This record gives sequence, C-alpha cells and structure tokens, in this order.
Amino acid sequence: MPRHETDCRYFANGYCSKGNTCTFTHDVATRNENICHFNLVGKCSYGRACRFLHTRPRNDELPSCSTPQTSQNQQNLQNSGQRVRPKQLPELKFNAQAAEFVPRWKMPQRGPVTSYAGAAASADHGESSSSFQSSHEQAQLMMCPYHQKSGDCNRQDMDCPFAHGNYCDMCQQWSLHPYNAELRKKHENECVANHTTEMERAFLLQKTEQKTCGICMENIFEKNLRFGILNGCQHCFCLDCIRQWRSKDQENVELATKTVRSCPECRQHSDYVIPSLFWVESGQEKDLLIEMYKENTKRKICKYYSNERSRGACPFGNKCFYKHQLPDGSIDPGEAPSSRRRPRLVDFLFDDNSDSDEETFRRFQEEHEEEQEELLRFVAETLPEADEESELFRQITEVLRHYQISGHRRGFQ
Amino acid sequence: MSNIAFNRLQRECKEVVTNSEISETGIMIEILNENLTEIKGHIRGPPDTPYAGGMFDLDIKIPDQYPFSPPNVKFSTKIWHPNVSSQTGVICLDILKDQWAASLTLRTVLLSIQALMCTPEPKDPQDAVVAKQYMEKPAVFKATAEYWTTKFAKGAVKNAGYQALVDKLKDMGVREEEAVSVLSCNNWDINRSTVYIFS
Repeated sequence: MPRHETDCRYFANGYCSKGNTCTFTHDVATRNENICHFNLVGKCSYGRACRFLHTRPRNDELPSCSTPQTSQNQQNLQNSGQRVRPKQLPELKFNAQAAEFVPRWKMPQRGPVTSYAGAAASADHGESSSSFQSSHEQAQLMMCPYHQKSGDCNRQDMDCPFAHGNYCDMCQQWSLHPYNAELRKKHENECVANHTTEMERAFLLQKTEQKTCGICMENIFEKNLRFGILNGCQHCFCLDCIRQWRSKDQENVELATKTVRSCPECRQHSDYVIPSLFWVESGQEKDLLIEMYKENTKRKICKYYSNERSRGACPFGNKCFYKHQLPDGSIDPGEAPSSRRRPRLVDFLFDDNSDSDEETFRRFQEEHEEEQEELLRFVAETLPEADEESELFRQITEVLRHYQISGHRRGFQ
Repeated sequence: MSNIAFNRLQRECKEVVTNSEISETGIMIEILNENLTEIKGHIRGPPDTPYAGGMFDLDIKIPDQYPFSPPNVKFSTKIWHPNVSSQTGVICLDILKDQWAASLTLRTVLLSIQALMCTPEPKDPQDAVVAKQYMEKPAVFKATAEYWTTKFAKGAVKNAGYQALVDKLKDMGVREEEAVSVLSCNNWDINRSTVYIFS
C-alpha cells in the first residue's frame, strides 16, 4: 500500500525495483513510457532485460503531439478526480518517441518532387505553386555545397535542388554558376581579389622570412619577433633591439641622444619606431603602415594623461601620437611642442621695455605683488648662505629692486 | 653577459673565421675565454704603409651591454701611429666611442682599425708626439713606424741606423723598449734622448 502521496519517480521513469512494496504511489498515468534509444538504432546490449520499451513507434503516431492513448489516460484521470500530471509529460513522451533521423536524400522517394519546397507545394495542391516556383528558383541560385567542393554530389544533376556549378580555375572548385552570368561574374571577381591578397601576403612573407636584425643578427621571423621599422630609413631591426638601442636609460653614457636616435646602420635620424609583424620596405606600404600605427596609438591614452600629476606635461604637446584625454572624456587640444620650453627667469619678471602700457603694468603689479614680495624675501634669506651662487642672487635682487622701484614710481605718477 | 650578446658574438666569430678574410684582408680573431668576453684580434699591416708586413695584436674586451655599447679595443702590439697611444695602445677612433652603432661587428671594427692604419688622422690625435712628427717630419715618421713594425710586429724592413742608436742606449743600461720609445719621441736625436732619460 502506498503510504506517500508523492509519485514514485522510479516508476514514473519506467521501472521501480520495489514493485508492489514501494511506499510511493505507482500511478500508471505518471509512467513515462520511455522507448529505448539504443533499441531504436538496434544496439541495446540489455536485450530483453532492458527497462526501457523495446518497441518502435509507428510512423503515423509521430507527427501529432499527444498520442490518442495519452489523451485517453488524461481524460480518465480527470474523470476519476485524481491529480492531474503536469502538462510537460505528454511533450516528454513525444520527445521520447521521436523518430530516427533519416537524411532527406536517404528517404524512400515519394514521387518526383524531392525538395522540401516541392513537398510543401504538393501538400498545398497547387495553391502556392508560384511560391514553389520562386523557392525553386532561389534554390537554383545557390550552389550545391557537395558538388562545389569535390565536383561530386550523391544525387544526380537533375535531382539536386541546388545548382551544380562549373569548374573555376582560380579557386579550384566547382563554383561557377552554370547559367547565371551575374553570379559567375561575382564569383570571378571574388576569386581575383582573393588571389591578389594572397599573392601580396606571399610576397610579404617571402620578404619577411629572410630578414635578420642588424643588432642581434637573429632571423626575426624564425624567432617570432616583431619588426621595429624606422620612419627615416629602410634598415631592418627587431623591435626589442631597436627600442633598447634608442632608449635613454641604457647604461651607456657615452652615446649621445643624437647617436641613438639614428639608425645603427646608416645613421639616418628617425623620430619613431613602428612595430610590425611583417617587413615593410618603403613606399605606399610603409605610408599605410605608419598611418595605421598612428591611428592605433590615437586610441590609446597618453601616459602623461593617465594620472593626475603628470597631466598636460606631455613633451610632444599636440603632436603626440597618443590620445590626450581629460578625466571628463574630452580631448585636450594642447599646444605645439615647439612653444613648450623650459621656463626662464625672464618669463616671470616684468620687462618694462617691451611693455610700457601703464594699465597693463598696474594690473600685472597687482596680480603679482605677493609673489614678488615672497621672492624678494626668499632671496634675502638665501643670500647670506649662498656662497657659490651669490652672483646670481645679486643679479636677481638687483633686477627685482629695479622693477619694484620703477613700478612704484610709475604707480604714483 | 646577456644572451643576445653571447649569441651575437658567436655569429660574429663564425663570420670572421669562415669568411676566408685572413688571406684577403688579414683579419683574424682568437677566442680567449668561453664567455666570449675577451677576444684577441689580429690585423695584418696594410700594404703600402709603414706597417706593411707586420702582424698587430689587439685586445678586445666585450662589455655587458654589448652590442648596445662599444667593445673595448686596444693594441697589445706596440705601434707608432698618431691615433694610437705609443705607450698604452689605446685607440682613438670615433666608432669605438661616441659614434658606436649597434650594427657594427667585430669584423667591421677590425676593418675600421685597419683603415685607420692606412689613413691616420693627425688632427684628432691620441698620441700628440707622434701626430706632431707625422705632420712635421713625415719621412722620420715613416722610418720610425717601419722600425716599430719590424721591432714589435715581425716586420721585414730593417733599419740599421736606428738599430745602432737603440743599441747605444741599451749599452748605457736603458731597457730596449724605453730606448726605442724615447728615441722615437725625440726624432732619433741621441743626445736629446740621453738628456731626457738621464735628467
């Protein structure tokens, strides 16, 4: 006798080893009559002992979602007032009874029409014969993938709904459409374009393969290194070597910046190095590479702009290859690098020769009064100790005094 | 030494050894230690120069940063040349200093030194005495350089006059090398040399 209301899940799946002694409900309606998949393909090793059903679903049962038997069961259950199984069950049953997959071309032939489009058209009995016509035409515009690859399709030319093309010399496939001139032309153009790019690639590779780095003398391609292409000349180095050569922090103090910024072979000056996977000699290719490189760097944020402190201190100004992005996302236009030089003392002092305008002078004085006083105080404080540079300090004080006096004089006028 | 330097030096040595340049240009190298940090170079004196027929040895020391910094090259054979110190053998050559380029190899360096032996640069001298002699008394310079080549680099040109002067100083108890050096510096004036040595 069942002691639990719950359904036995083993029974529901087809077999419960406890049989009648099971304490869970053995409800036939819950039974998910699974059909043995292995038996369907004829390979069930359990034979008669298999707990799944060794039956083949009949063909006419297949298409409908719920078999008459199950709907009958359901009705019975509803009538007897018992709990109704969740609705998934019939679907599960359908899944279990799914027919064995048979490729379309292996199916026994039913009449002259074999394509899906044809079958659909015949089922509709000519109602959509025009749509059949158009879908048939559409199919004819597509190339049969089997024939295209090997020139061999299991079905005869007349039988296959797809077009069996002519042989294309370029791609060595049966890809030329038998009668559509437009498609033929399109394919030929594609093939020529492919061929050109492949040729270019092959040339590039051939050039690349033989190149050795002028510094480490290794074959760059074999070592899987990148090329460092100089913008000024056509000598070949690997990226690591040329970068190390150009880097200022190499432990070599003897070599001047001018020397290391030039090509180690021809001493031609180069402003920058372009990393590249392939060797690019000169001309249009190189221009393109440089352009691509600049476009790439433009997407990256300049290291001077990546942190708060150094922002705006990029020595390349608006000529920098990298992105000068401010924290709010806008781009800093920057100034030209030539105008950025080290600030000089003159920049901070008032030059009364060049600027004699009273108004400007007064405004300047007001603005800088504090700074100026501070500077004077600083000079006065430092002066007694500063032995080595006392000459400099003397000059500064003189200039400042002069400025102050002349400033006051003018101010009182 | 970095890996790149070692690999490169191996290639360079191979290049010099296999290139049959010994017969053509008279350049040879000899590896002194396994790390390839010390190498001995040999240069045959170029023909039509006072150094013709001589075989000059060079000490080459490879720094850690090679090839990003130049090798340290100096003559171990004494040589009378405006751009080489007659005392220490230090060479004044721009490519061994600030004009070094990473693409230069042992072969090109030795060839450059050989070229320097052909065409001295007295305006940028290493040894001022030699340079002065080269410019003011070319004949004496040539004879002295030839004598040095014979004396120290197995040259074939004999100069009996100079040898007699050297022997004279040797008899006074002066070492041969010093005698040659002092006499050369004093344009083979035995009196001035004696004064120089004994004052």
